[in-house]
This record gives sequence, structure tokens and C-alpha cells, in this order.
Amino acid sequence: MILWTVADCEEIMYNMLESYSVRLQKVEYQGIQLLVEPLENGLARVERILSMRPKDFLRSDLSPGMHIPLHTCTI
Amino acid sequence: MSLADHRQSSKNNIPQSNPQEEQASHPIGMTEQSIEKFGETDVPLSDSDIHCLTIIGQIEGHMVLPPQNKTTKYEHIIPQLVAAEQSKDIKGLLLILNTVGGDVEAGLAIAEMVASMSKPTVSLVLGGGHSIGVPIAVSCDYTFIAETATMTIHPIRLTGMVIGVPQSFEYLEKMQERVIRFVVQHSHISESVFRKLMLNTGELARDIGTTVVGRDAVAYGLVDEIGGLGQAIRKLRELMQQNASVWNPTIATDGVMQQ
Repeated sequence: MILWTVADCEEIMYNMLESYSVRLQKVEYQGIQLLVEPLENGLARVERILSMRPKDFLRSDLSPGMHIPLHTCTI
Repeated sequence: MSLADHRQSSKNNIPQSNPQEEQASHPIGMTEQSIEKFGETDVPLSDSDIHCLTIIGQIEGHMVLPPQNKTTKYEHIIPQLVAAEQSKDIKGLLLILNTVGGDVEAGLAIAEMVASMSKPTVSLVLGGGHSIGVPIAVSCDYTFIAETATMTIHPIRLTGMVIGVPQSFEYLEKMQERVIRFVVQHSHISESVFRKLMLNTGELARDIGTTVVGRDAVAYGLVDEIGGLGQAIRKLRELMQQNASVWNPTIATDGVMQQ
């Protein structure tokens, strides 16, 4: 990997080799396929939008890191 | 399409539930939960024909970085730029940077996408626009930097196994050439000055290179102007107006539709 950053590689890669398990789930939310990480309290953190429609990526409420209610999603 | 419009159209596209069902589906209340858990409040929305894109933290490449990193993901940014370019409601792009840099491939991909957009683009560097943040910042039609913001220019680095052969260095040099060429082509800095800043010794404690602060970035020709949000939006509106008059001759330069 070629990096151009002021951050130390050790800091960036810290935990890289340790297996931290992120349980990702593919769901459909308001007609859009998403890859989410289920969290506590029935929320899910958006990891990625799986869509071929560019306009879906303009939705700030679905940006990576945003939280959505998991119970409104269909699996 | 503005966010408000988009949200409205999204609402129109999905089956509407009645308020009781809506309340039942949000047992705690998303707003209260947002405030309580994440310290976030709802930001008032207004119609805007400017799409604001923030480039923050590490620019993530082909590998997902560990969770302690705050990242900008190219797989989200690239389709967003495609959407902004296609949308008839978005007339300009405002890029706000506060990044420590990151993956060269991903950063250059974003920079090339922004540079090739037909709509006016303005960038604003706040805090820091370091390393690969530099080509992204200069990829816009016009660039601003806050007076206190900095840009670090230093050589690129390689992670993982490095074989001790001349080809390793040649490869790294070729990768570095890509960013140098891009920055020189999209800003007013000369190649010799950029290289000099990049290979400067004696300034950085743990690296070679130069940290360029606000006014110096302008003096070197890396950034067009010192400014903040107000200036950036004003400039973008000016470019949007020029762009509109080019594409639609019925609109005069003052933005008033001619009969």
C-alpha cells in the first residue's frame, strides 16, 4: 500500500493484524441495499451503500458511519 | 438535487406509514437518541444548489483501516461525484478538507474525478490538508485555505514488504511523480519549488518535507487565496453564475433571466 500521510503508519495500522470481528449484514433500507454493522438498541451503522444509482450516494443520512434503525430494514 | 429535495423525493418514493406506526417504529425517538448517544442534533436543512463534500481523516484505500481511524471512503465519494455531476439541481461543488492524507491511489482517484467535473468546484482547506490532501485541494477550479490551516508536503511512503532492489525505489519514485505532476498541473506552483518543499530537510522533526501554513501556501502558488466559508461560497456562486451564462445564453451574467 502506498501512503501519503502525516500520520504514523504504526498508528494507522494499529490493530490491523489483530482480528477484530465486524459483523456486517446486507439489508435493504427504503429501497436501497446497504451493508451495515448491527449495533445495540436496534440501530445499525452504515458501512457501505450497495447501489448502482448514483443519486443514492447523495443521501447524507446513508453516508458511511451514519446510524439507521435496523427494524425498518428488510434482510 | 438539494438534500431537502432529495429527502422529500425519497419520502415520496417510499410508502408512507401513518404517524402512529411511525412513532411505534421509533420507540426511543431518533432525535433524543442522537443527542444522548452521539452528541448530534438535527441540523436545519435549507434548499441549496451547492453540494458540500467533506474530506476528513484518513483517505482510505483498498484496505479497510482499523476502527480507530476516521476515514473518507472512496467507494462512497466517487459515486457521489458522479451523482453531483449528473444532477440537474446541483450547480456547484464545495469541497471541505481537513485530512491527514492517506492512500495515494484513492486520493488521486478522487482528485481526478473532481478535476474532470464540468460543474464549478471550490475547495476550502481547514485545519489541515496534508499529503494526498494537497492534490485533492488543488483539483478544484478555485482553492481557499484558512489562515491557520496547514499543508504538509513530504515524500510518499510504502507499507509492507520492500525488496531491496533498485526497482523498488524506481517504482516509488514513479508513484511520487504522479502526485507531483498532478499538483503542478492543477495549481500555480512550479515543479522545482514543489520538489524543494517535498525534499526539504531540517524542518520536520521526524520526516523530510515542509509544513506550509495558510499564507505561505498562497505565496507558493499552491492555493489561490486565503479565506473561509463565506469567501468560498461567494466564489463558488460567482463561478456557478459564469457557468450558467456559458451553458444558457439567456441568463445574463448578473444571473437575471432575460425575457
